[in-house]
Order: sequence, then structure tokens, then C-alpha cells
Amino acid sequence: MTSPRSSSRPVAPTSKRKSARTAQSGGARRPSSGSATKPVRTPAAKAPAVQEPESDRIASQQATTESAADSMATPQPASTPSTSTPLVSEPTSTITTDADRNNRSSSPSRLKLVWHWLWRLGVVGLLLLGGWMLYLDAQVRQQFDGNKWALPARVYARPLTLYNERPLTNEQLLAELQWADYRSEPGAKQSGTFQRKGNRWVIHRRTFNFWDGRDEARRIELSIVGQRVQRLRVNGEDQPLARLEPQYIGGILPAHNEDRELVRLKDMPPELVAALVATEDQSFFEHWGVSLKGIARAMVVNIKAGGVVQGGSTLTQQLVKNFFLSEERTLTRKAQEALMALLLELHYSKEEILEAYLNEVYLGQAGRRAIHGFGLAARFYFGKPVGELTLAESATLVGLVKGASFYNPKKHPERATKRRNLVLELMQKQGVISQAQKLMAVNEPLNTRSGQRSGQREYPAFLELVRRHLKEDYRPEDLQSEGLNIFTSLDPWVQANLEQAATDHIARLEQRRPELQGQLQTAAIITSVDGGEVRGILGGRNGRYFGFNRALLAQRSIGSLAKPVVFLAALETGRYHWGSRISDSPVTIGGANGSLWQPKNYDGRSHGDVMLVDALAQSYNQSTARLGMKVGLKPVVETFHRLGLEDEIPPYPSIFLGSLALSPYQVASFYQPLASSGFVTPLRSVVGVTTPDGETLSSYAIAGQQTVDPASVRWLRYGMEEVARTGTAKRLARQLKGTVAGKTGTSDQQRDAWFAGFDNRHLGVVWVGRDDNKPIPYAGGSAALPIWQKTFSKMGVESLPELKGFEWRAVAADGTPMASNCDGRKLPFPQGHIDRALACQSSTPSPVEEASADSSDKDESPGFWKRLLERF
Amino acid sequence: MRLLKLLLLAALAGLSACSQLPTGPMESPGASIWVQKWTSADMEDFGDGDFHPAVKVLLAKAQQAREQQNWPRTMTWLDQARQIAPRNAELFLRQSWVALKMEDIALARQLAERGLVFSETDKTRLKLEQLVKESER
Repeated sequence: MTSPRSSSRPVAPTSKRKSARTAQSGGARRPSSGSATKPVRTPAAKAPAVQEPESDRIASQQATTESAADSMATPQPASTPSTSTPLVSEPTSTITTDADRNNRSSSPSRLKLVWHWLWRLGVVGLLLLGGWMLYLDAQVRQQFDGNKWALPARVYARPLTLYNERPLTNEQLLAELQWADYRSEPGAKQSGTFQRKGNRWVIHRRTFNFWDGRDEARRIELSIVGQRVQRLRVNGEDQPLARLEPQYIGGILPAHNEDRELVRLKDMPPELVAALVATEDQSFFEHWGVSLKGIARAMVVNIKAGGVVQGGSTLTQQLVKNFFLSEERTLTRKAQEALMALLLELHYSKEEILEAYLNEVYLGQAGRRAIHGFGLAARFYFGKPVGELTLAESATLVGLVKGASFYNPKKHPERATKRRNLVLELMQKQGVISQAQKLMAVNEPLNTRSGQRSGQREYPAFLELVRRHLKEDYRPEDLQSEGLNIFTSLDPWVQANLEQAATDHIARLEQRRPELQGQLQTAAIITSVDGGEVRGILGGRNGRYFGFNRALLAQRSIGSLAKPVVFLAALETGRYHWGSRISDSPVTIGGANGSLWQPKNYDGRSHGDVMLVDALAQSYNQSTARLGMKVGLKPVVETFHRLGLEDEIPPYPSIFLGSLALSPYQVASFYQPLASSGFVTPLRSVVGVTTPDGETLSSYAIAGQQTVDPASVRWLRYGMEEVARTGTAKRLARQLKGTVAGKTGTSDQQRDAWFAGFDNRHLGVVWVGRDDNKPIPYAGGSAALPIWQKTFSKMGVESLPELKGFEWRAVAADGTPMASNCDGRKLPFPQGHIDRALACQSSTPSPVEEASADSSDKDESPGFWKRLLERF
Repeated sequence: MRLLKLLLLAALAGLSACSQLPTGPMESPGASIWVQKWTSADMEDFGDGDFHPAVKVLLAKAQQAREQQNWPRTMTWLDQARQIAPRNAELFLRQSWVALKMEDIALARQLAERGLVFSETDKTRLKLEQLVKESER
């Protein structure tokens, strides 16, 4: 296997990064450009002279001023009060003249001495300056060569694969396209667009660097018939397989939270580059890093304004300031900035400097993420790659350089529009664009995209899981700086449905009991049955909240979710089958510290002799505890371990009823073998990791050992199907099409409500409770089960297959199987299991059938009827 | 002379009539023996067999990666195919074989055992059992 830790590239020399910037600070905004809160339109007369356009060379954009936008946007002090102190004062020159006169009157040897010392000082100064320059030069070259930025790993969801007969609804496809920033456009002629006509879709997929290489843009056509993909065509030809690019779901950010998407200069739209140069530094292609003209102009403006209203910094200086220096505004820093700008220009081409600037500049804030560079900004504000930006969009982004927060087009559309139009006007005046182009762009709306898109949606719980899984193979600093691509198993459709179902149901539960408002919490996880891939995870009631991840960290008592393990251990002994009878009567069992414990049933009643299948389906505590005692504590504990539970299990019979504290993730881990033929499949969230160049560093395929006989697991599955058919989760049979299996769970005093269940494709575990561990008036069937049910219903249930390798027999009153032609309630027996079958006889009606009338929906709050009566 | 030829032909026909008639396709017994003697060194082209067309595409890519001896990539392509047909024993057979190539013996065994749970033909079962044996060595 590849050794990712060793094969991942060494950490690049980290450039001097600033800690998280405030949105107001504006990374590339010149300090002297004044407050971003004072944008003022400049009279046309103040605009720089229009240059003759020289076709396609940006270098041809001659400028008379350093920053035309600033001069246009800066208040021109028509009547500035002359309170400023002149920079060169008369008295000083007078003193100098006096000194000269004095010197003239002294002896020539004294003059010589002064000159001698001055010369020496000059030499020392020059040496010091030379040394400083050498130091700065080394710094510039060291940080500018190679990897300039700490690039966060980019994390992607699974790609949506399309093939004929794949289950897919129109609703899902539309949602996935919208989350991936696709726009509806007639004909879908451009990449990143789609067209829908009823069930027929045309999708113009973008170029994307998949884990296996670059996949060029394609035109995908398909129909959705009967909730399945049909007639798949790619670029006009029938194709068996196509895939959409995966959604970007987040980055593994370094401490300063800078995020960027690197883009080469050649991939930037020429209009964007032209707009930047025209607005920020018209003489960029002529100066040597420092523009004396620009400084002089800024000085004049500042003197007139009586304060610092305009900067004389070139793009190179801005880059130096952002890339190498701190925010402090001192003369030394300014000198350092100028020297470093000169050195940068000495060593690197204009194109390299421009490319660095375009990727470095701060352009906004998305929650904790600082958006740097035009590549990421294009996705953040317009939901498209930078190459797809229109002229107006390019101008809007360039407008942000002056103040990313102040001109944020989402928050301040009017300001952003004014600023954009100013940029467009400059471009037109400098001959970069024509009058007609300007007018068209000015009339375009801002068109920023909604917050429900990829790169906007947050998946904190899943990202935490990814970090956890990668921790074994990668160093955190590599994940934060090497620009790795991480391809994961997250299914955004599953995740969205899970979040929605949880939000809706928690609100409903709190509405029913207003005293619980804001108190209920939930956590959930959904995995694929066969591969153990995590498809969705919820760390709390707010899926977008970066906080305590209950799905991974909350250790809660699992209640009756433990029961299938007891029944599996019983079935594996060969002494029991689903028709075996067990007494559901008061029983005393041992708990911790030698205490004795008498478990009660949820309905407070005992049910006499019951069949095993009913004991599980109705979740009877007394019969389960008795069964556990008969099977033995050790075999049950061993079964837990065989199912993959690594934690220590307390050696008390109370574990039969779930006095075990586990996280939803752990529950999913040990239910996974029950859903997948007895294989302990480690849950995984990462499918592959590649370098930025697409080289595969790691791939994570399915793994897992078989620890339980598949026939035993299938046999157990029947009992869990009965839970969902006739037992405590029978609402599933009413509301879902197809066979599913599961188990409700409610811990002692109703502190925790659980449901764990699976269909043929997915396993889901849901927990509902309170963080302070106080009881809640709901049980697993009413609090957790509906979230599971709604999620699966929306995802589309795939029915469990029929049980194979079993014969179905009715059982006699004592639980002995009868001949195959006998009538009665048929139960499954593994083929070859029955060594003695009785002749047909009547089987005593199960007392459970009486009890089930009031236990069917017993997961409702115990006080439900009482409360209902009290209302009337 | 002509009579002699006829007699000879008749004798040959009689002899052939006495021999056992083949009960199935001529290659069946040979194929069966071949499967019993199959080892991981005989692993066929990944695309051979009946698969969903989408799976075939992925298997062809896995085959390409196999020819380049890029085992991690081969495994990932196979895993993509497995996600479309998650209970196809033939895919587990291929994944197990790649795991052997990657010298991940434990994984090879696990994958072969998983394949055995879903195998529906003797041919596949025998091959998977062989991989289990090889992974035990």
C-alpha cells in the first residue's frame, strides 16, 4: 500500500501568513486609500486621460495616475482647509544656511573632519542598507519560490454517477445540480448549465480533475422514467456511464482559516486582469515595483485633503504588503515594502507577480473562511469557476479589492453596483472595453448566488469525521497546507434529507411540549449497508453548526438497541428459534455493585409465555432479560465484540437491556454486520486522496472481516423485520413501501430515544435526547423513528430481499415446529435445522396478540392519554 | 478397393458409436478441470464476464490500471464498480486478487470471503476459495 505520510510532499516553507483578517481590513486595500466607508464618485474631469487602445496587450494601458479608481473614488478636496503643515519648511532651510555660514567661518580642517565622518557614516549606512537588502532579497526569494501558500485540503462529496436503471428522481437531480452551482439555461450550451424539459435533462458538465484524472466538459443527456435513469447519452452518443463532478463540501483549513483556489494567469479571463490593472495600478507594466509618479500624485492628493486619503502603492507593493509584511503603518515598514517590491520585480516577471496577486488578494469572508484570490471568490460570489465570469462579474470582483466587506455584493448590492460601474467606466476610458460593452455590463444585475450552494453549505460533522479518518495516515499540517484533494463518500442528497427530517421533527416534538423549546438534541448517521461508507451524518439539531459532534462523541445509553445482540446470541446456540417460548414475567437480575434489579416492561405489564419473535418485536424487557440469563452473560458479551464493539462491556446482566453508553457512530458500527451478512465493516468516509496534480496518494477500498455466520444474521433479520412489521416500529410498514428491519430503543427513564434500522441499501441510526441527560417525554418510536422514516422515505426505500435458505413452518403451542403442511403463523427455520417436526395441531394463541393491541404504538409518551383526557 | 474403404468407414463409425456421447458443451469438462487448477496467476481480463454495462466500463478502466500495475488505482476502480453492483461475487474476486498483488494478505482473504457469501456459480466459488487458500499461505 502507498504510504501517504511518506509519499505526501514535504511541507512547503510557510509564507508569512496573517491571522484571520477582519472583513473590513481588506487584504489588498492600501492603507492610504482611506476609509472604505467613504467611496465618492469623482467628477469625470478628474479621470485619467484616455489612452489609445493597443489591441490585446494589457501592457499598453498607459496611465497618468497610479490608481485611477482611487482618484475617481476619493473625495477631491475642492476647498481643503490649509491646516496641513508644509513638508519643507522655511525655518529649516534658514538654519541650514546659518550653519553653512558658521562652517565657512571655522577652519577648513573642521569641515574636512565633518566630511570625513559623513563619508564614513555614508559607507556604514550603505553597508547596512546592502546587508538589509541582502536579507530582504533572501526573504523574498525564499518565500516566493515554490509553494507560496498553505493550501487547505479540498474535500469533495461523492460524484453522482449516472447509468441506465440507476435510481434517481427529478427532484434529486435538480437539487444536486443546484448545489453544484449549475444554472438552468435553454439549450445548456455552456458548461455549468442544464436544461430540463419534463423528465428529459441536458446537463453541460464542467471539466473536472477527478481522482483518476482530468475529465473534460461533456454534454450529458438523460431521461428519468419511473424514478430511474434511462437513455443516457454523452456528447450525442449512447454511453453506459457518466458522472457529474462532485460537490465541494469544505476545506481542512489552517489556523488562520485562509482558503483559496489557485488559478493560473492563463486561466483568468483577460477582462478580469485588465479590470484589475486599470483600476488598481495602470502603470503596472511600466514601473519597477515602485511608481514615483503614483507616490507624487498620492502626496499631492493627501496634502490637499489634509490627511491620508490615497496610497501610492503599486500592485507589487500591495502584494508585498499582503504576502510578506504586517499591517503596521510605519516609515520603516513602508521603506521595507518599497525595497521588497523592487527586489520582487528584479527576480520575477510581471506575469508571475500578477498571478501571485490574483491568488493572494483578500476578497471576503464566508463564516470562518477567509476568501482569498479570484478563483475562490468567483465560486463564492457567483457559483462558477473564474474562467466562466462575465465582464460585469469580473468588474464586481475587482471592485472588492478596495474593501471586501464594504463592497460585498451580497450584503451591499447598491454599493457593489456603483463600484462595479466605476471599474467598468475606467476600463472603457482606458480603451480596454468599448462603450457598448460597458453599457451592456452596467445594465447587468449583480447575479450573486444563494447560500444553498456547494461551497456555501457547511458539513461540519462530516468534515470532522474525515479529519478523524485521515489522522491515521496524514499529518494535520499536510492536510492544511498541501492542497490535497480528498474524495469522500458523503451523499449530499442523503445528508440534506437527514437534516431536513431532523429539523422538522425536532420542531414538531418541541411544539407538542413547549417546555422543551430549544432543549431537544439529535444526532444521526447513515451508512451504506454493503460498503460501510458514511453517506450522511448529523452532529446536532443544527447540521451547519461547528460544535459538539454528538454523532461521534455523545455517549448515551442505548436501551433496547442492545436486544438484537441478545437474540442473535440465543439463535446461535441452536437451542432457540423464533417460535421458542420464553416467559415474560417478573425477573430479578444482577446489576452493578451486586445490586439486584427487576426490569419492567414499557407498558408496566407482564405478558406470560411469548414467542421469541414477539419478545423482540414488542421489545419486552422481562422476557429478553430472562433469555439473556439463559444464554449466559459471556456469550452475549462475546457477540457484542464479534459485532465489532471494541469498548469494554460491563459484565452485568443489565447490558441485556442496553445499559451501555455508546455514540450513534458506535451503534452504526455494530449494527453494520447485522445489515451486511455478518461482516464487521469499518465505517469509512474517505474514498481517495490525491495531490493537487492528481497523483493518487491513498485509496480506501472496502474491508472487513466476517465474524458472524451470514445465515444467523439473516435469521436475526427476520425478527428485526417483525419489529418494523408488527412491533414497536410498525408505523414503518404503514408508511414505507418495502421490507425494512430495525429496532427502537428507549433508555432508562426515557433519557434517550433511539432507532436503528436498514433497508437493502442504507443503515441509519438516530438518537434524540437532551444534552443535560434529563428525561424526555418521548420514546424511540415517537422521537427517533420518525426522523429515520422521513429520511428513508425521501431517499427511496429499497426493499430487503426475501430470506433465502429457510423453510417456513408453523409451531405448536410448546414452540416445536410442525410439519410443512400445517397451518398457523409461519416462522423461518434454517434449512436442515429442523430434526423433529410434529404433526399438525393447534397452536395456542399467543398472549402477545392481546398485549400487542396496546403495545403497538407504545412508544408514545406514557402520559399521552392522560394528557389528552385532561384537555377535555 | 472401394469396398475396403467402405468397410473401414463402417468400422470407424461403429467404434465411434460405442464411445460415450458428450453430454454438454465440449469445453465443459476441460473448463471445470481448468477452474479446479485455477490460481491467481491465471486471473483473466477484468472485463470478462456478464456485467452491467456501467460496471463493464469501470472494469475496463481497472484493467488498464492493472496493466500499468497501478494497484491502488486498480482497486479504486473496482471499488467504484462494486458500488454499482455491491453483491457481485466476481467483483470481490477481482478486488481480492488485487489485494494479493498489493501484498495485503488479510484484505485479500476478507474480500474473497465476502465474495463467497454472494457467489452463485461453482466457477466463481472455486476461484474465491483458491484465493482464500493463497492468502493463507
